[in-house]
Amino acid sequence: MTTESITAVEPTPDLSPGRALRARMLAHKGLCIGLAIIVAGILLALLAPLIAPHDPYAQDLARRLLPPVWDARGTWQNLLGTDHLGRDYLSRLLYGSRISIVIGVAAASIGCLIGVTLGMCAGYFGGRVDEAVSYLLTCQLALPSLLLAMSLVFLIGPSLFVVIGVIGVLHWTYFLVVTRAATMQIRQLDYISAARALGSSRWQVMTHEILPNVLSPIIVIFTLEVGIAILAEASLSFLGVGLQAPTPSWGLMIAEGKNSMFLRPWLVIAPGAALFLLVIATNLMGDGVRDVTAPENRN
Amino acid sequence: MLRYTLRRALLALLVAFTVSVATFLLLHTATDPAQAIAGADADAAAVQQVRVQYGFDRPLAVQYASWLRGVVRGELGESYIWHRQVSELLAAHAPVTIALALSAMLITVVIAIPLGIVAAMRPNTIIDRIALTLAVTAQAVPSFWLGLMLIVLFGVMFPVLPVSGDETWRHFILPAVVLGASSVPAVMRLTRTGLLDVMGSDYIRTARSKGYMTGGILVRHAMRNAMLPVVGVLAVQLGHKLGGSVVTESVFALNGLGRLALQSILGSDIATIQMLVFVFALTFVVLTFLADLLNAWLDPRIRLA
Amino acid sequence: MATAHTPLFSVEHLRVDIPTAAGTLHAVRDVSFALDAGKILGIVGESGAGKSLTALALLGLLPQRARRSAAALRLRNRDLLSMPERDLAAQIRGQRIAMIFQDPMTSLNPVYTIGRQLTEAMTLHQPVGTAAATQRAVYLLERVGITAAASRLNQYPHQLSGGQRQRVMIAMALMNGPELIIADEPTTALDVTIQAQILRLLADLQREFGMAMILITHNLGIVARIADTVAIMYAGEIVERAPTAQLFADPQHPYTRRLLGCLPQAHGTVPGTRLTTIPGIVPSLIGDIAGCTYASRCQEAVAECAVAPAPSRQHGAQHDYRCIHPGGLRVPGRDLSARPVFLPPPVDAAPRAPLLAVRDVHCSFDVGRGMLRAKRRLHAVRGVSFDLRRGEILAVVGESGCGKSTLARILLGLQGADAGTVSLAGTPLSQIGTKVLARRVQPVFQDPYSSLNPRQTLVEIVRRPLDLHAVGDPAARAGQVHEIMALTGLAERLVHRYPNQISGGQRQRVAIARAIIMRPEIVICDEPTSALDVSVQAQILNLLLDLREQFGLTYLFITHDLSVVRHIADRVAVMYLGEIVEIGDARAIFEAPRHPYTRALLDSVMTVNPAAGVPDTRIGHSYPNPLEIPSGCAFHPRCPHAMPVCSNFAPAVSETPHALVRCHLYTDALAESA
Repeated sequence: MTTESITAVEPTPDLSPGRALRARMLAHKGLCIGLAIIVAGILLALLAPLIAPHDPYAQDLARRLLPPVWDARGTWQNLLGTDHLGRDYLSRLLYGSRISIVIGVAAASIGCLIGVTLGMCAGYFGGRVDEAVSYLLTCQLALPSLLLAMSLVFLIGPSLFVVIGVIGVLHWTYFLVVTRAATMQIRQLDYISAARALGSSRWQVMTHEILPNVLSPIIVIFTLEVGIAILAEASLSFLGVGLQAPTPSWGLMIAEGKNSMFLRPWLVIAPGAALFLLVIATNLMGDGVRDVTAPENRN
Repeated sequence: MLRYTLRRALLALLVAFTVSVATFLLLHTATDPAQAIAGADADAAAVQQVRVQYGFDRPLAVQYASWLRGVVRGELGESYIWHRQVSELLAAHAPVTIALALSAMLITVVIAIPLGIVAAMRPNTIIDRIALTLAVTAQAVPSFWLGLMLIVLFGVMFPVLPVSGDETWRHFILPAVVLGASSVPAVMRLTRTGLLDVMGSDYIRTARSKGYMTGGILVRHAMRNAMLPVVGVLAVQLGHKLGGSVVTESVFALNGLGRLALQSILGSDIATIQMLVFVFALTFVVLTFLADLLNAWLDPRIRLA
Repeated sequence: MATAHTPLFSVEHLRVDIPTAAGTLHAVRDVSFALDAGKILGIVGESGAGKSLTALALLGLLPQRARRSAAALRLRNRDLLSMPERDLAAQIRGQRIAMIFQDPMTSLNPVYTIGRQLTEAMTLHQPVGTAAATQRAVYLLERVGITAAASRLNQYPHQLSGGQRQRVMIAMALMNGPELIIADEPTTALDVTIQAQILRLLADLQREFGMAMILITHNLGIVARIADTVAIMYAGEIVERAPTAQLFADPQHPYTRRLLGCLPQAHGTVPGTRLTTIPGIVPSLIGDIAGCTYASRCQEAVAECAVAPAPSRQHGAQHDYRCIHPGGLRVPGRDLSARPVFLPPPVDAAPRAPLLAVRDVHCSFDVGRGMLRAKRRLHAVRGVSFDLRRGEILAVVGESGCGKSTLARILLGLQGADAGTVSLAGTPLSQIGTKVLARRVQPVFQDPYSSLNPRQTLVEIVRRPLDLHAVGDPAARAGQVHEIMALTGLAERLVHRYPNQISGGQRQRVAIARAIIMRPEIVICDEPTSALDVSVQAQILNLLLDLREQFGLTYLFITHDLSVVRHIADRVAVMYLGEIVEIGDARAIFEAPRHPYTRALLDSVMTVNPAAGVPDTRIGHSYPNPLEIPSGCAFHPRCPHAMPVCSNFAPAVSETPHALVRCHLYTDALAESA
């Protein structure tokens, strides 16, 4: 009985939600920066075969460990120098972006599929289904996911698909929590009851009424999880239990450069900076989308 | 309250049990342990011999049952590669990891919570923006890269701190900073949001109408409410630090459980991996159980439901 | 107005501005009043008028972004406007001026005991120890009607009922004996019977302690009964202010006059007549408004009204209002002339089979989630039986916990009953398919903000039923949608808008359009106007009555607002804790209610009748809890006529062809208990 009186004041009618959203997005600096970086990254990744000056796998032991072009001993042939096997660093960096982006998006998608499905079912059906899913969630949280990821990837065999699969299957909790909370909140609203009273089936209610309204938080989580997946793969490869040589994974490149890091810091700085940029871009985008669609959920 | 405690304890046990089952299944189906022990070059006969010797030919359920029996009795198995008791290995490596995790937690709490409070008390000002930017940045930095950068900084440029090994307490400073920094964004944001929500709530408005000023309000009414969710998150973060110490220990050459885990994985030592995962899960479960109890004690709505 | 003495509290030209992305929102534009010691000022307005912000501004409790300014803000001779925050907090707030808020659940800190929250109100301001503060807390708790006060001190807010929590808030405000109490919608969140009790308590306390009170509400009936002076707010200004009796007897401002006409129980309104409405909407408060704020909706506006602000005028002693027209030159505000009386369609008076027959329906839930947790049983509906005849409007009245919403869901097929049958034209609901039922029974819900999917346009929302049931051919559906939207009063240009772009009243029209587009037989309205402003409520009620006439609909109208019931219902059913305690013709129930609860409900209704004072409902304070249903007659703990038999035996139903009452007073009690 606590509902507030509905005001007779008419809200500004000019912008539809879609257009208002777009306007807010363009005004949000963080979001634009993040989006710009990601678009640039995707472009670089797509065009890598065209712009990379050399083959990232081509070794040239005579030209090992050359410094970048701004150092006295650097050359224009290898703008960012070469690694311990004489491979051009810039090319490896560019190709590495493909790996990171593909893994990030694919693993996040797997996690999204699992988490959102479970979350919507738990949130909509409640009761025993919810209890079972919550139990599953607790178990998943208790698992040391990095350890398990390391073990599984290494034991099964470190290939791209295995890495994507393992990371994706271990990173659905965030999706579940958010989807479940949003679904539970929406389920109580009257338009759901109205849809049921109109004769909609449960499936119709979930897809036609609930899903469009839970999309915003899911998108936010998706962008954040892309960043998390990228870092997860980098960690795995750095430790030696992820993608193996000679793949130009950024994490692996850092591991390979670690030993000569004191004298040749660019070997470690360059891929690390690339990782940092990409992940901060996804974080900025995720935060931006959240600020723009539901500023009250800022966390 | 007693019933609540028993319920949560039972749940905690069930979760640990489920995790151990899942891990066991995953590990034993992901690879052939006999092959791993015998080595890549061994022929089929040798592998089969190993299989029978270690009992890998038995059905999985039976193998798990015997593992469980061993755990309950305190016999945690023997490592396949080092041929020592797993319990010995754990005991030898645990202190380093525990020290690391606790000091990392300390750093997180000391940085994140005050930062979150300050940001919440002055929302949308410079301080708030700095804090949020810090959070976004810290979340994006790969922890191993941060570790390496710090090693370059303190190993080469300003050699005041040791960068490798675990002999003295000073060796733990940099690793604790790296490990702690990874949790700072989440805890800071949660503190900030929680406090913002509380400060905007109706009961704080009531407190102001009774005559409280900002400092008084903060201490009396707001903190206790705002800390409720933070307690849970801190427990989760601590639990994750134990499992997430692999990278930090590897970068700084600390001889803890993380290092042990990495070596076990590289050597396909399933017995040790299984035990490590179980121990980490059990610790996490116990920590969250304690956090639940603390929460229930602090929040009368749960305590007196 | 100001005499030689200094008033206790005075405000002159208060303004509150809130910067927003779209410009500065002038939420409060010009509020001035003076209040003498021991008097009650009622500030009334619809939502968006700026009442709550005014209250917060008086104590300097506005949110950070808001800017307050005034020509004067004084408590006796102390200037509150320029007083530094520290002094305001230490000397004024909670000590000389105390505030009571609307929602007692969220206004009390959930992690501290009641006792602590009470005592700290005192120890903060006075150099007394906890013991003395506790003593006063117990005294005040008992004074506000909380039994076993000493033991309550250790309880937490969530362990008390809504009414009890509000009593605690009142006690908390009184801890330091303030001179002035500001009450912001103190009873809006409470049930009707409890509202009356709390208001009576406030009135008594105010008199006893000699405090002044500013009572802010949207309910004209409440201020009529309790206030000495009434101020009407509209769009951030006080448009009229007068002593209570005078304001209601002889209102001057056009808004006041029409507002009084919108009330379903305005004196002189015949039930079933078309209510006065106020066309248009409140103008946007962002930016400046040239001229009178009410001009856009005023029936008597002339050209100057839009150009120059309305001047302030006097009409007799202490009666101010803002209007360009001096008194006497005007058309009466209540269009008594142009008011057609609705002709209700002929109700099935002959005893043929009813359209909807509900027989002994029971429904209960397990409450208490989580694994291994002890579950409690909530008995929402306990043996409800009634008939719904074709063409009639049956009102179902009850307060929270009575089960009316659960009953509605059962009738809509959204909830299964544990026992009993519901038959639609002879066929049990269980044998009617979901889709078929959907075409014959449709809902209109209470909250217009949650009954429309925010991601769908209005046309999509109204069209959905046609798509779901594959009615006619797709091309024709658009035409049907337009037709029904026109019938429900929605302008053509709104068709492709989203719900967030239209007002609450318009949203409710969309919900109604969606409900009737398939020409159902029964429309179940669950509090359809409770969340709307009075002026908007009038529009929706008129619409519902129009549609009934046009389409021969039958309504089950759930509400707690008895003035609405009196206006539109043919028959009334009164529910309490899951049972129907009385049912009968509306006129009979209003003129001669039989069940003590019905009588209490009717007594609690505060119509605009200044002479009447706050009603005394004479029922107990205890809180109806569907988780703990009392033995015997569920109402006996609160009933002023309870007898020993009432707690032991559930009363049998005493039935006549037209009415039913469930009370031992009307049965042969001795025969029943034998």
